[in-house]
Amino acid sequence: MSLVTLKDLCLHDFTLESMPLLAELRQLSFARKPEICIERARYVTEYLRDHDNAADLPSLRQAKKVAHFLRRKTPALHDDNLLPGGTTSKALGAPLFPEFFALTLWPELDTVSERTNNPQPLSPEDARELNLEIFPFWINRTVVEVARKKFGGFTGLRLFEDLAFFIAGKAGCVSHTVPTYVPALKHGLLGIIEQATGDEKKRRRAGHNEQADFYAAVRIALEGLLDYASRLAAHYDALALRGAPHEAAGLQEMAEVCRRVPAHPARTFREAVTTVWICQIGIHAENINMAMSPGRLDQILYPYFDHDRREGLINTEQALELIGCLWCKLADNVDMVPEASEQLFGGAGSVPAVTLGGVDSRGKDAVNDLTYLMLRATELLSIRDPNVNARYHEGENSRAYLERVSDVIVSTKAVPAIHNDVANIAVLESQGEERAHARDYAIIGCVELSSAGREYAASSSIILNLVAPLEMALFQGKRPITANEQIGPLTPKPALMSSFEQFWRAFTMQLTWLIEHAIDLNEKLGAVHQQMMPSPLLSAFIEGPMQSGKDLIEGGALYNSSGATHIGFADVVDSLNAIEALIFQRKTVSFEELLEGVRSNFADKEGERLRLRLTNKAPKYGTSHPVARKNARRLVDTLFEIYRNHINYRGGPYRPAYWTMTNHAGLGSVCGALPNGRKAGKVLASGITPVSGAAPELTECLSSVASLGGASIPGGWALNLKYSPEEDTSAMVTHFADHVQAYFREGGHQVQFNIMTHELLEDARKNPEDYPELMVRVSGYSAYFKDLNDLMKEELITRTEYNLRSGQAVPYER
Amino acid sequence: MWSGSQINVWQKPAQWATLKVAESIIPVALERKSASGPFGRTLLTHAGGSTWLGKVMLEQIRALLGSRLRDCLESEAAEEFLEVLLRLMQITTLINPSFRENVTNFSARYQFLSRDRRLTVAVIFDDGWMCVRETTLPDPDITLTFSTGRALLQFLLTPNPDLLASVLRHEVEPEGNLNYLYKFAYLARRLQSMVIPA
Repeated sequence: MSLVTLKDLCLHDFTLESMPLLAELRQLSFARKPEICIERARYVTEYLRDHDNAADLPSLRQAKKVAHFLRRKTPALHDDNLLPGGTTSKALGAPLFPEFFALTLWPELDTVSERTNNPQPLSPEDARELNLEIFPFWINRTVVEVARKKFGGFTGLRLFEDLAFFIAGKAGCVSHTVPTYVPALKHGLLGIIEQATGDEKKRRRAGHNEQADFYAAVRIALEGLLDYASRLAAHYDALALRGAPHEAAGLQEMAEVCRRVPAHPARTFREAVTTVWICQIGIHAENINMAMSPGRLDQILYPYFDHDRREGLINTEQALELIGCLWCKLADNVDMVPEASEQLFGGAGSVPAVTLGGVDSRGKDAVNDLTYLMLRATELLSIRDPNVNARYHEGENSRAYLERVSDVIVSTKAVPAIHNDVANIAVLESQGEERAHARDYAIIGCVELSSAGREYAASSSIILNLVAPLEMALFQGKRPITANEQIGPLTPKPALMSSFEQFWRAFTMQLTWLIEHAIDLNEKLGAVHQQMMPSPLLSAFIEGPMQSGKDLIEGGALYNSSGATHIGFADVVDSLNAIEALIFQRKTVSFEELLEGVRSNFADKEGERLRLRLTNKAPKYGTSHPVARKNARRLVDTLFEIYRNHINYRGGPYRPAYWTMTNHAGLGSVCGALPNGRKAGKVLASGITPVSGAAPELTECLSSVASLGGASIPGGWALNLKYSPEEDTSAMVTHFADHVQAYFREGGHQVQFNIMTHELLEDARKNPEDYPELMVRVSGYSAYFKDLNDLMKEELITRTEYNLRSGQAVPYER
Repeated sequence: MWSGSQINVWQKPAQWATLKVAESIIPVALERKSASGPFGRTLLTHAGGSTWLGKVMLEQIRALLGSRLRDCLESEAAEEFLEVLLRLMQITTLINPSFRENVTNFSARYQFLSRDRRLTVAVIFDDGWMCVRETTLPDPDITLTFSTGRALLQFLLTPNPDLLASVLRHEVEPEGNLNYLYKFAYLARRLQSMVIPA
């Protein structure tokens, strides 16, 4: 039975004009500049310096550290949002996690407030405290330094610090996960604490002290969160006493809600939304703000919404307002980004993903009225975070739902991303997940898949630059950027190779070598996390740890995967195509010529002629050319097989993925020229998207990408498409939905869009002041165009633009 | 040699004379152990700025080095940048309490190497003291190998910090605990702001 009762799925009657609170919060979200918040850094340092008991087991130590912070965390109130508190002390905060990369801010302490690119204000007092008190304490204690001390200067760490081979996610976080707040909603945190206390006693009596300590850790961390909630209530009561009568009522109501939840079970929609939000604040006290994704909110909040509506406690507008408030709160933080990173990788939010629609754990249509309210909130606010994702299950979800999702994308020009339930559920099942669990998947951060609330996915563990092994295969284990240094194994000289298979073997040898070092580093950093960064608070919100008495970081979750994403997929496939077709099949280019061209960055007229031949004559990924299709498929399958040979430190699999955030721009800037004719320093193609200009036919492009779908890409992918806007938006929505449906039928997993022209983006680059709110999809998440670095702006401008009606790429000449 | 490259930059005789005095005194004064004898203590008294002579002399040297650092930043000739920077850091540590505060309770061993190995400089911080030597340290906290003085300068001091890009381009190759590098970059930029106020 359908849970949709709304007459107008678009909810046209509800606008920013009719909801002034949302209009005000939206305006504030654009007006605010992110400020650096040192509060967490201050209190975790204070705890470890002054109160730590080195004899405590890691999870207990972590819980005490987190609780020490939560008991001192500022109960903030910055605006009229109906939800309390915030992840930081600032209205829009960039929190510092000294366990990871906060010390990269050290050189900029005096200048970060005023820097040219995305300044992040920091008061002189806070800068002084960081310089003299906090950073010195951590100088030898960060995750990476503890790993260096424990394991020495091993190859994996050296490759990581070289930056051009792979990025090790665990040096900066684990985070990237979808907790479940259902236990908090049903039982309240006091209920979970009661369970933890009981289990602690039982395990202690049985002599299982480690497990008993884990339960104690959960209790201590949750008590810290409850302390924060009760201080929020007290703070709002105090403000109500001082405030004007019309403000006092709202503050007292908020205080009343905080006294009730998350301590006790939620009874109303407002209490449920507040529970979700305060728990979300809690997990940010423990883990860094990277893609901590609240999951399927239209599912877990629906019973409360439905109850209130039936009881006449809430109307559609009030519910929509609360959802809008939650959206604005989820966007209340960004990552602290040092200027050096800003130049190469900047512009991202913290990407908390919300997942809507799809099917339930029985495989039935899960779209409900709340799904549409959340789509409307997304449409009205059009803000960067949360990263909203819509699931679509053909045969279960209605065409009306797909068209409404398409409508929101056309309207916002960017969000939400769409995910194919049929393909995604199948791939999670192929990873050994129970069918019901696979059906209940949610998106982490950009595009990664996770059984909601059951999986510690660590989906950003490895970000591997595929260009590196390609260059090492071309230059016998060396890279142009590292000159004569022998990096990888000494593979045969390409000029002496007589077949493409020989080159493929050299390439896969370098690839395997690099992946094994990336995995080795991930495993070693994982071991350090087990000592330094257990997650007792987050463990209370994921299925498994509370049953087994084992922290998430020890493998306590029901599912324990590690994600490995890949940068430069399309450029590498096209380079392999060029080598196979032009050197070995048609023999129109020799390997010597190619290597000289790549080495010299296609300098002089001869080089340019070669570059044009490579660009125009070689088969391209994104077309139906059999060589291109074969090499794309083969690379995907090879990567899957390499990772399949490894089990992570928590006992789970490695899952290859293809999303790039802004790394394809940053890493592209340091990669040499490639055999596909790409010149040195140019951006690489994003996600799993074909190279810009390489796939002129939209249907061929979609079909070519979709053909890669299936078990070999369990970590998710980002296909980034740009469509020309059309005047007749309702006709466009229909075409749009048709194309999505056709792509999903062929096996595509995910797709996201920018509905804008080359010219508009070019103009936005030239006149950023005219486009303060222009939101774009990068590769898995949304960003404001004005905040992106020059490389990313260039990539978005030159990204292939398709005309939906003609199905052809729109020519773009500068 | 460590000081050879910059002699020609001190054009005026008075400046040159001041520098020569500084060259004889500062290295001794800045070494805590060397300064432990009566002679050392006398030098330290003057060099530490606790006498009128010391203050005038050190302020003048600091001004000269500051001027030279400005030249390095503004010109393309950045080969002596590291030497100027370290001398300025040493002397500012000595005479400026607010700058010294940054290295109080701070111990660290830095190794700077030019890629051609013509420059091998060790910098040791030890609770408010800073020592610079042409030598190789057995176990530095961090080693920084740089292709050219210009690359190092850009790495540490350009208006738009270029740490990551420099590493990616292999113009500067750090090995060891990068947190010490961040700290050093902070000290360098603090000095830069003292020499060239915004």
